[in-house]
Amino acid sequence: MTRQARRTRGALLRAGRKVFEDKGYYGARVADVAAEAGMAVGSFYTYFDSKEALFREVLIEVEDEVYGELAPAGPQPEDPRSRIHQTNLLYFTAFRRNVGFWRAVEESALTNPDARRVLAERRRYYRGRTRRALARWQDRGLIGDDLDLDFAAAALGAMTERCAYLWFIFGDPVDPEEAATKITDLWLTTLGVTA
Amino acid sequence: MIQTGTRRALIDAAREVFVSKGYTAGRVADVTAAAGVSVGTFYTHFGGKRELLDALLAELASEMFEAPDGDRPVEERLRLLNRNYLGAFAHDAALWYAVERAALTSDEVAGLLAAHRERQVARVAGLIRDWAGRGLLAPPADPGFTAFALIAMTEELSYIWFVYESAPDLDDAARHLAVLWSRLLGPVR
Repeated sequence: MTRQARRTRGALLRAGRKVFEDKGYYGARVADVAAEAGMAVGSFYTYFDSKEALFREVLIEVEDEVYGELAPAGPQPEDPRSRIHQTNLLYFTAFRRNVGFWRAVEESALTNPDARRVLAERRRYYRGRTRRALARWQDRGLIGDDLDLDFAAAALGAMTERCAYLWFIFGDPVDPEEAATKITDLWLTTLGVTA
Repeated sequence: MIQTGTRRALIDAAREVFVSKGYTAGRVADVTAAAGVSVGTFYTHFGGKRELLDALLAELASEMFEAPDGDRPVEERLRLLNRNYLGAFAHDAALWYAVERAALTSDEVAGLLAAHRERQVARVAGLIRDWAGRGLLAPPADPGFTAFALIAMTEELSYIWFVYESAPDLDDAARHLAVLWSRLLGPVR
């Protein structure tokens, strides 16, 4: 791809993200994206086959951004409270910043199999990380042997995700720091960790 | 409220139409056609589509997060509460999904769902206070917030299981959920 082509494609991705945020998945039209990027509809189809294809590319870009932040460089805290708080806080912060786009993603999930797949992958990614951290704490005796780690990782992750969805998409804005502290307390109580 | 035959038929028809066409695209005329009544008759029972959805939600919610009475241990009651919820959600998953999706683009639907959730949170918070008052649970710091978070957990898992991925065995899932609810609520043994 020439530099000019990359620039044009990048402009369409940025315009697409904005239009999906403003108009939602169903409301967004290819013509809106082209207009936002200041180009003809014909040019859009040089780079993307359809609105759905553009959406998938924007989704991957946003996901990369969020994942990048959720895997911070350098050593992560090993004590459960700091580690869980950090993850919850990063999740809430990233969700709030991208709330317009997540709304479009949720909207698309029924009819767009790509979006469903990306959402399922996002869940697996989080669950896997949580599961591994819980296993390490169980080995160190911080969590009782009776806890089913797969289920706990899935359920506590679900709690954080649903709370973010309800607070940032439908509710009154909450402070991510305060939200992370309260949800982290609930995780720790459920896990039976006192550290 | 007395469910007359016509009112009953309209609520059942609404359920069908909201699932097949979505709440936003579904029209009152579709509901009346499915129920086999005239549009005029519809308006003697409901002020409009919003009121119809409200009645439907109230009906669906009546059994959700209801804790069984009786002298059972807390974890057993939580198991039954979650089992009832999962059974109800599994039965109406397509409808819940349609309504929740409509809420993303309609403030009216979002408002109805928020009110519905507030009632459920109040119900569970009431249970927590009641059980704590009877010495079954440790005194809760913030029953409203705890109830909200527990409901959020169960709801999200329900969407994942019954809408996006695949349904688990309901009894197993309810047992697992009860363990976590119970750990979070800290029953006094």
